[in-house]
Amino acid sequence: MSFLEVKHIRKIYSGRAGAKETTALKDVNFSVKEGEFISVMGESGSGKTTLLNLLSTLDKPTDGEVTLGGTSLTSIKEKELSKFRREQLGFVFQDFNLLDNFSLKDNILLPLVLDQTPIAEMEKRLQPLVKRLGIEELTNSYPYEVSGGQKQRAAVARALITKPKLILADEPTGALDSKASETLMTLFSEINKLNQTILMVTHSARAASYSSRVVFIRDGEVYHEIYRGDQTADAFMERISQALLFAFNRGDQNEA
Amino acid sequence: MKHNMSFKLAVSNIKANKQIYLPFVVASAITVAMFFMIVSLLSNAFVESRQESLVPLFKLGSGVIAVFSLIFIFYANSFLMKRRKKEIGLYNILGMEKRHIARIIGTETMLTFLVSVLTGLLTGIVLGQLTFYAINFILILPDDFVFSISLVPVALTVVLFMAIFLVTYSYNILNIQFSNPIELLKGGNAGEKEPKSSPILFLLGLMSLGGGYGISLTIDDPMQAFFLFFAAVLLVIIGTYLLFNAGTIIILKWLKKKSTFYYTPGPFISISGMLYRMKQHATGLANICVLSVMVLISVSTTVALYSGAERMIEAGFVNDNSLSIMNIDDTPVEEFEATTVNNIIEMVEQRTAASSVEMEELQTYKQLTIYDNQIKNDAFIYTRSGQVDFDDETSMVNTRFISLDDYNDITGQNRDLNSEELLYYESLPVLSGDTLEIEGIDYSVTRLDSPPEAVDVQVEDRSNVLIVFSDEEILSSTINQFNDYEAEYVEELYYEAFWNTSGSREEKLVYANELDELFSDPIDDAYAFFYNKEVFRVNYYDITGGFLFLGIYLGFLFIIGTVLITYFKQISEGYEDRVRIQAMQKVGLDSEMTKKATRSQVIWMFVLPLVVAIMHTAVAYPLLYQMLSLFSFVTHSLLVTTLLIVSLVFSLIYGIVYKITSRIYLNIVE
Ligand SMILES: Nc1ncnc2c1ncn2[C@@H]1O[C@H](COP(=O)(O)OP(=O)(O)O)[C@@H](O)[C@H]1O
Ligand SMILES: [Mg+2]
Repeated sequence: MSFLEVKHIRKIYSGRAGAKETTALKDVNFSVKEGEFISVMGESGSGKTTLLNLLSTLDKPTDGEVTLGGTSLTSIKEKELSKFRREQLGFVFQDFNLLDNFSLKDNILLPLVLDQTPIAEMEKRLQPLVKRLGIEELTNSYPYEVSGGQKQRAAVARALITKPKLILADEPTGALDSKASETLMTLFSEINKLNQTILMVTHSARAASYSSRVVFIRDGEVYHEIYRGDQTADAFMERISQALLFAFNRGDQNEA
Repeated sequence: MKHNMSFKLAVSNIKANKQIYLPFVVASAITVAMFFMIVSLLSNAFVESRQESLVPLFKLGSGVIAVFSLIFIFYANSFLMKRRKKEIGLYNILGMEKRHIARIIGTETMLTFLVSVLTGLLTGIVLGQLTFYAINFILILPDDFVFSISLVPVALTVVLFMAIFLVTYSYNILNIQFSNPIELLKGGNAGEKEPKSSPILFLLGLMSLGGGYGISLTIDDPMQAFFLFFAAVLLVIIGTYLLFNAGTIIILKWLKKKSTFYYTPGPFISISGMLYRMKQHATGLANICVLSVMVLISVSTTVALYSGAERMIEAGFVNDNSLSIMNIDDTPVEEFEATTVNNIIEMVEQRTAASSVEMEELQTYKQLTIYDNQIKNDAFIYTRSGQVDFDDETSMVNTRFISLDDYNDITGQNRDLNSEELLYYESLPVLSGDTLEIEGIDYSVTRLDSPPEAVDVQVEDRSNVLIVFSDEEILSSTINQFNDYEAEYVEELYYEAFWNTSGSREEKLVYANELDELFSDPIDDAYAFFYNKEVFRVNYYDITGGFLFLGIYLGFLFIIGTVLITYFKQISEGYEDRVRIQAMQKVGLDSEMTKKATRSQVIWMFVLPLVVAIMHTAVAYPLLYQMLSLFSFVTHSLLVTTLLIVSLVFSLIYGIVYKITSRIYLNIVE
């Protein structure tokens, strides 16, 4: 059994009374091995964020099941969901989701504080992490005092500090310039080398080229997957671009 | 851009933002109502004709409420604009020029102004009318006591709020003019820095508060109290604002430094949350605190005044009517009693029979009342004997003498005394043994537990003594002995008649007027003083009613203000905290923890202003007592009880309002 299994999930948004239903995910089915770095790509509206919300337990699938390390996410009680999210998952958001009223340090420590971790333990985890992410000078700054790239690195630190089983990232480079994106993705691949499983949703072929596998979804279904193997990042990016182009054309033909 | 286009945009903006516009309009409408209600008093016919001396006070009140309105609407506007900035930035980026934006905002401001002022005026008229009815119900004021609506207060209100809205509008426009679209887009979240602690402001606050407290605690003269009251109020208000601002920040920062405490879920969320917007929080809290103090003070002094007045009326008038008949021609006692007194009583009975009220039993007795005597070493010293030691205040007494016959008559008892005995009552201990010497005769004393109500003299802070002689002869001979001290001064027996009547208050007043007229001139060889409880009540409230009225009215206004600010604060902060809480929930804050953390924050925000308000009121006590003693019959026990009860009731009301508004807050946040 794989580390993360997404088994035939379907998600229908029923909306308000009278509004018509939207099928965001039709039948999504794939699995992730421990230590993999997966990118999920697809056009806008293809259901990427919906998928991520289901994986992160922020929402529940209409049908199907997601298991992480053998536990079915749907079987977790409502009360334990927050704890589960805090301990098993790490999140990186497009808009960073840092809190302005906390210094970067406090932002990073937030999940540990919520878990009532002793201070000594928090400090022990914090130091090496901020050093590795290159924000050790900034721990006492506030989010509005640092750049987007630095914010995102703080967000990554917050995601990593609980030593989660899985990191979920929704367009983490979406609000960053190309240089900051590159730094962040290099960071992701370094973290991944330490056997950290990462699932990232992205638009950008460049960002996706850092991962080990790319899953393409369209109209709520996985329609293609490519593995990087031992290709260079540039070569892999070439293949991703072609796959996207092909998908685009095929889409055109289908609809014509 | 066409005018009607910006009008449409403004209307749709308001609709889209009704979440924040609704509280804003409700809040400003109530502010308008408050101001209108107080300026209406300035041109109120009743106030102008009866309570002219209060006009300066009302002017002061109007000024205070005008300033409060400005501060409050500005405070409310800051919440509104913060939430609107993002949208304005978007317009700007989409290519709308700033002057077009200014026009849209101008239209929005116009609309909110119109709605606020119209509903505010209507609310003010209705509430003003209702308050007047309520006050009249309690105080029984004359017929012309109505809440009149005239043009001047309406115009004043419209002009003031036009100015206030214009100021906030200009402020908003300048604010937009000087910020670039990116800053606007980031909206409320940009550049909100953690506030700095400022020890200087803290010290200034302490000094100001100390000064205010000092005035209250050192004052010992009522007139001085009256004048310094306003200085003390001002100092305490300034101190409160400064301390809430600087003090809370210092305390929160200190708590934040204690890392074992800070890095636990509850404090982590609530301390950082409070600190983040402490400047706004602090102003809101100080507003609530200051208004609460005003409610506590105005309501308790009013209640104390009112119950003091009622106590005085009840003490002075055990019966509805009383008649004191004085012999002015030195007619011999028996003859006077048999002819003049009987004649007068008959007149009363006839008049009553002819009137619309019905007399219950009429009783009479004779009495002699002498003030400023002394009982020392178990001897009675007559005030004009030249032997009274006026410096020894504790042994000074006011004395009333009656005979046993009358005593038995009034009380329906059947006591017996020999000529060397007397019945004795004292309200404060002055007599130590069981004999009392009066003008050389030793009487043995039988103490009474309480005096007959009708005969009681009530003056606080001094012992009131009742002496019942065994017969009228001893009473007369004692009077003669008193009269020997000073040739030109004569102590006289009074014949007292007292009776209750049936009938409504109006009937009683008509009846009292008839009797008043009857006894306005001497009758035969007598002068009769007629007293009626209702007449006294009306006259008394004619003098003190203005203050009572002011107290009730202001108390009511301040309660509205407190409720208003609490409501607005919770709603607006709810929308701001919501973003934060939701961000934390995404990374694993559960709803139980959210409740716990916000609850402790909510409780702090509830308790802090209330506790400080009660503390201010407690310290103001000496000042209040001195001021009230200027024009009322107030005692420590009365004022303390009143303050305690009013504080309790207010805490309860505030608690309920807080509970309701926190539920709204939690609903918004969750
Ligand atoms: N809360 C929601 N209610 C109704 N429909 C939604 C909701 N969230 C997303 N959708 C719809 O589901 C589809 C997939 O959306 P999403 O997962 O956000 O796509 P992506 O992230 O790939 O752009 C879209 O058609 C979107 O309109
Ligand atoms: Mg998306």
